[in-house]
This record gives sequence, structure tokens and C-alpha cells, in this order.
Amino acid sequence: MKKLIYLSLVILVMAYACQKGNKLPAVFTPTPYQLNVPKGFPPPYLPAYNPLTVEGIRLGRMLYYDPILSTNGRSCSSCHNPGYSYSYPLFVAQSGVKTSVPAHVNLAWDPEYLWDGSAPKLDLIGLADFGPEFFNTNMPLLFEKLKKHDKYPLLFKEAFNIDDISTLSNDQLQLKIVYAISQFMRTMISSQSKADKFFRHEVNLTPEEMDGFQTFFTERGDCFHCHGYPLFTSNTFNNTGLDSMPTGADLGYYNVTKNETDKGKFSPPTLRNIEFTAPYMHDGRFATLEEVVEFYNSGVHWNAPNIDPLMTKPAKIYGLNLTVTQKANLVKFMKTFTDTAFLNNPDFRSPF
Amino acid sequence: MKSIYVIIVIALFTACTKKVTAPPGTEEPVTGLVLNVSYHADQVPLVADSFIYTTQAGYQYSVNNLIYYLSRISLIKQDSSLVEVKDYLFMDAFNANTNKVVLGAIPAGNYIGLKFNIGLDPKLNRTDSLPTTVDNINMQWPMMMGGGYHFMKFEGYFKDQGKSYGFNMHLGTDTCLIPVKLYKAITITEGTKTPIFMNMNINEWFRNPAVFDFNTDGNYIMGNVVAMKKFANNGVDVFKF
Ligand code: HEC
Ligand code: HEC
Repeated sequence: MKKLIYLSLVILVMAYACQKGNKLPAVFTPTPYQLNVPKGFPPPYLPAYNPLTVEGIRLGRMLYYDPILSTNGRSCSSCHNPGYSYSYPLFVAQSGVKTSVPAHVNLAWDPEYLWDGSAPKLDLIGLADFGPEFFNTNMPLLFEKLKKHDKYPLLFKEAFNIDDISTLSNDQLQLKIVYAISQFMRTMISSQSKADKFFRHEVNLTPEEMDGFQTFFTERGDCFHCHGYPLFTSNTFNNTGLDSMPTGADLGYYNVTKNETDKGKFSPPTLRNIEFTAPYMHDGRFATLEEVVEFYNSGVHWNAPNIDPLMTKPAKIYGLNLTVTQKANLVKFMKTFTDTAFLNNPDFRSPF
Repeated sequence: MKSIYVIIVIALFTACTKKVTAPPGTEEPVTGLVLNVSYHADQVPLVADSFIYTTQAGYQYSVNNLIYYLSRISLIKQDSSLVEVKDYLFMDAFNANTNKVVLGAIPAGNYIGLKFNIGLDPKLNRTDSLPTTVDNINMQWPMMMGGGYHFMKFEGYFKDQGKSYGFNMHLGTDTCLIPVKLYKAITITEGTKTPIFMNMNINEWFRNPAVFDFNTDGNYIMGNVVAMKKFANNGVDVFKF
């Protein structure tokens, strides 16, 4: 009997000693993180395969800002810059195709990612960034730099229980990196804009903003059908009649499904912090919000394929017939979607 | 002494065995009905984005979205009193999940029919009265226009003199609630789920009692009280068993 007790003691001591050697417990259980869902928001999409943890978010935030991932000095934050609501004016690919960079805001509620909806999972989008067009990552170098780093080995251990990242394959390491970053991105929640406060009856709008609100949320402008409150997006794909004959990237969702009926359709982007995310539309074709409003007012191509029925206004008119003042007020109202508390939130800013 | 170890070992193992039970919410109620809803335009089944239907007024049309609420779904008893089986349902003609809905915990017995509203009754039709799901949020009727929810979004295209235009038959506001009563003997048996089959004939929206014309009545009716009311009146007989 006594032998058994000694044996157990020895094992316990060994386990303890072993733990001291690594400076870490053998198994680390990360702390679950509870996302603070604002009132009136639907349940967020939180996949079970990548649960939010305090440690995962901490790691993700660091990686988001760290050019360690690239060989060209870039980090996610190069194109998703806090000053532009985690967006950047325009991305021009080597092929010459221009893409407007979407803001990172309320991503936990977006059912389809990328302009054309080609990415259903937030947790995988970052994988493309290791490629030559974005980070041009050198994987052996990345392994080496992470291993030598004074913080990352501990952060990976805490977040994912990885004792030694060199035991991972390239794919596995990339996946852990983008999982951590996705956890961080899911915490980037905006719900403190003037429009939010107005909807919660906490503040009043100016008469001009109120008039813009009226245009946005009635049949006068009919914006709410696709950019409804609180997400300012909907889980649909719509052709708004930007092009009468879309080709290439302008074909949008069609490039994903190859269905004729999806030509020219895009997922309506959130309009949160829209003031900071110019230029507008998937290809950044409009430089200002005034131009966007003028498009909805008088620039809709009625003969576009699959133009959304919602673009046909009463009396079969394509366009809004807004007055100069109504257009200006609509822009003023869209500026109430600016959330300075979000933009200045230190939790989302660089940890360096 | 040794028996203690045996006990500990057993305790350890039993502590970790999980009972195999269905995850919560998936156990189906035993006594109830299965509401099967299908869609057609007279004899032609509903398919998305096909110009194969014709309204009573003579326009060829296609459908790309048909979502709506049913509310106060109740079985009618022989003495014409009601047994509510569900407060509301969100329906999507192009989503198989909402075309076959299990409604549970219904008292067994003989019923003579089904009563419900197309749309939300005034108690439910208030801004923020429904849970904030993506579907419910997308159905919101702006506060500016009276608040509450869209009862229905029926969208598609129609052809007029060779050109195609969009139509948006959006219904909402308390006055446009559509009461529906369907009569048929329905027997709910203890321990079984009785299937009910119901059809929506989308052509009925455009006729009976009044012919609805996209050009004269409107292709976009939200906020147009006269057009909404006319369209809603046509909705009373869109469903048949
Ligand atoms: C060189 C610029 C660039 C860099 C660096 C970059 N992105 Fe992006 N990002 C873009 C562009 C452009 C798009 C839009 C692409 C599209 O929709 O076709 C985008 C889109 C996204 C989206 C989709 C957002 C939405 O609402 O659909 C996510 C998420 C994202 N990026 C995450 C990341 C992460 C994580 C990193 C770092 C690992 C990163 N990005 C680095 C340019 C960049
Ligand atoms: C039928 C649905 C629909 C309606 C109605 C609609 N939008 Fe949009 N909106 C979209 C889609 C889809 C896009 C993205 C199109 C693209 O990039 O090709 C978009 C893009 C935008 C953008 C640019 C966002 C960005 O990040 O670049 C703004 C601003 C905007 N809409 C404002 C409005 C306003 C104001 C109204 C009302 C006058 C309105 N929208 C009505 C679907 C809609």
C-alpha cells in the first residue's frame, strides 16, 4: 500500500518539476471570453471550432499589428488601419483590379465575407494574406522569428496549448494565426454611434439629420431594406444597378455561384463609420458619399441584369428624385453612423 | 483498503461518462402536427426567378423573394373555440426548413380547421417585440412608417411592353393583417404528429376580390395604404388545404 502512495507522490513531484522546467503548466486552459452583445443586435456567429478566449484575443491582436507575418513590412493593420475604421482607401492588385478595403466592424454579425460573398467563414479569410500579393510570407523564416520571439511562444501556449510551434506544419501554423486574429476581430464591436443612441432614445438628431433619417428609413430613399438597423447590412445579395453590363470583378456573386441570376450582385456592406471608409462600392468607384447618393438618386442602370426589385421605385421609376437639400441631409444622416468610441477604443489599437 | 482504489477508479470513470441524450431543442414534441406548406401559381409550382407566371391583369411575372409571417396559428374546435398552437412563424417560400414545421404540445382531439393570420397580430406587431434574429431584424417596418414588422415581402419582376421592372409587394401595419380560416377535419392523436398540407396559390394575390394591376395599383406598395389594403384583401384566400 505504502509503495503505491510513494509512487503517486513521485509522479506528482515529477509532474510539478516538469512544469517548472517549461515555466508553464503542462496543459493550459484558456479563459473563455464572453462577447458583449449590444442590445437589439441578433446573436453573433461564433463558431464552435474557434471559441473566443482572452488569451486567443490577446495573441490575435498582437499578430494583427505585427509585420512579423510578412516579408514586406506589412501587417493586417497596413490595409485595415484604425484611422479608417480598420480599412484603407483602396487596394490595387497586381492585375490592376481595384478593390475597396472593407472596414473591420461588427464582423461577428456578417454572414458572408468579402464583397462578392466568396468567403463564408471569417476564420479562413486571413489565410489568403500569406500569399505574394499581400504578405509574401516566408514560412521557414516566420517559424524562426516566432520561435525566437520573447513573447509569442508563451502567447501560443496560452491561447492554443502549443508547446513548440515547430511541431506544426505550415498550414497548421497559418490556421492558428488566423484563428487568433479572427477572435480579435470578433471583439471589434460598434454600437455607440449617434444613430445608435438615437435609436435607443438617448439623443436627438439635428433637423437636417432627421430629414436624412426620414429619407433613409422610408420609401422616399428606401435604404433600410438593404441597410437596416442595427447592422446596416442584410443577409442578401443585391444588384443595385451599378453597371448595365458587368464584367470581371463587377460580376460579384456570379463569380462564386456561376448562376446567371447572380450577375452583378454584392453583399450590402455595413455603413458603420462610412464617413471614414471612402472610396465606396466594391471597386471604390465613388470618392464621396455625395457621389454615392447621386448614384442612388439618378445613376441606377435600370437595364442591369438582375437589378434588385427594390431598385424599382413606385411608378416604375429607377431613381429617387431627391431635392438638393434632401441629398445633403441624407449624407449628414449617414455621418451619424460614425462611432468615435469604437474608433478610439484602446482595446482594438496596436499593443506595440 | 484496495477496495477504495477500485471505488475511486470507478468513480473517476463514471464521472466522465456523458449521458447520450439529444441536444436540447431537438427533441420533437410527441403530440402535434406537421405543417407542410407548398407554393404554386394555379397549376405551376413556384420556382425562383422564372418568368412563367401571369397575373390576372395580364403581366408575365417572376418571383425572387417570398417571405412572410403567420401568427396566432390555432386549431378550431368543434364548438368553434380556438386552441393556439403557435404564436408566430417566419416563413420563406424558398427555404425548405420553413416549408415543413413541427408544431407541438397540442391537446389530442378532433378539430374542424385551422385559423391564422398572414402577418403579425397587433400584439406582436410592435417594434422590438420579436427576438432580434437576423430574419426578424430584416423584417422591421421603420418606426417612421409606423413601426412593427413587414408582414410579407413578395418581390420579383414583371414584364410590361417588352421591358422588365421590379415589383415589391410589401405588406405591413395593423390594418393590413390578413385573417385566414381553412376548414377540414383534423384529428390529433396522442403520441403522433399529424401532417397537414397547405398550398399558397400566388396568383390569388393578384385577383379576387379585386384585380391588382402593377401599373395602375402600384409596383412598390409599401407606405401606399390604398394599394397595400387592396393587396391584403386579395390575400384572404391565397391558402388552400
Ligand atoms: C494589402 C492589403 C491588405 C492586407 C495586408 C490585408 N487585407 Fe484584409 N482585405 C483587403 C482587401 C482589398 C479586402 C477586400 C477583398 C474583397 O472583398 O475582394 C479585404 C477584406 C478582408 C476581410 C473581409 C471583410 C468583410 O467585411 O468582408 C477580412 C476579414 C480581412 N480582410 C482580414 C484581414 C486580415 C486578418 C489580415 C491580416 C492577416 C488582412 N486582412 C490583411 C486588403 C488587405
Ligand atoms: C437593393 C439593396 C440596396 C438598397 C435599396 C440600397 N443599397 Fe446601398 N448598397 C447595396 C449593395 C449591394 C452595396 C455594395 C455594392 C457594390 O459594392 O457593388 C451597397 C453600397 C452602399 C454604400 C457604399 C458602402 C461602402 O462601404 O463602400 C453606401 C454608402 C450605400 N450603399 C448607401 C445607400 C443609401 C444611402 C441607400 C438609399 C438611398 C442605399 N444604399 C440603398 C445595397 C443596397
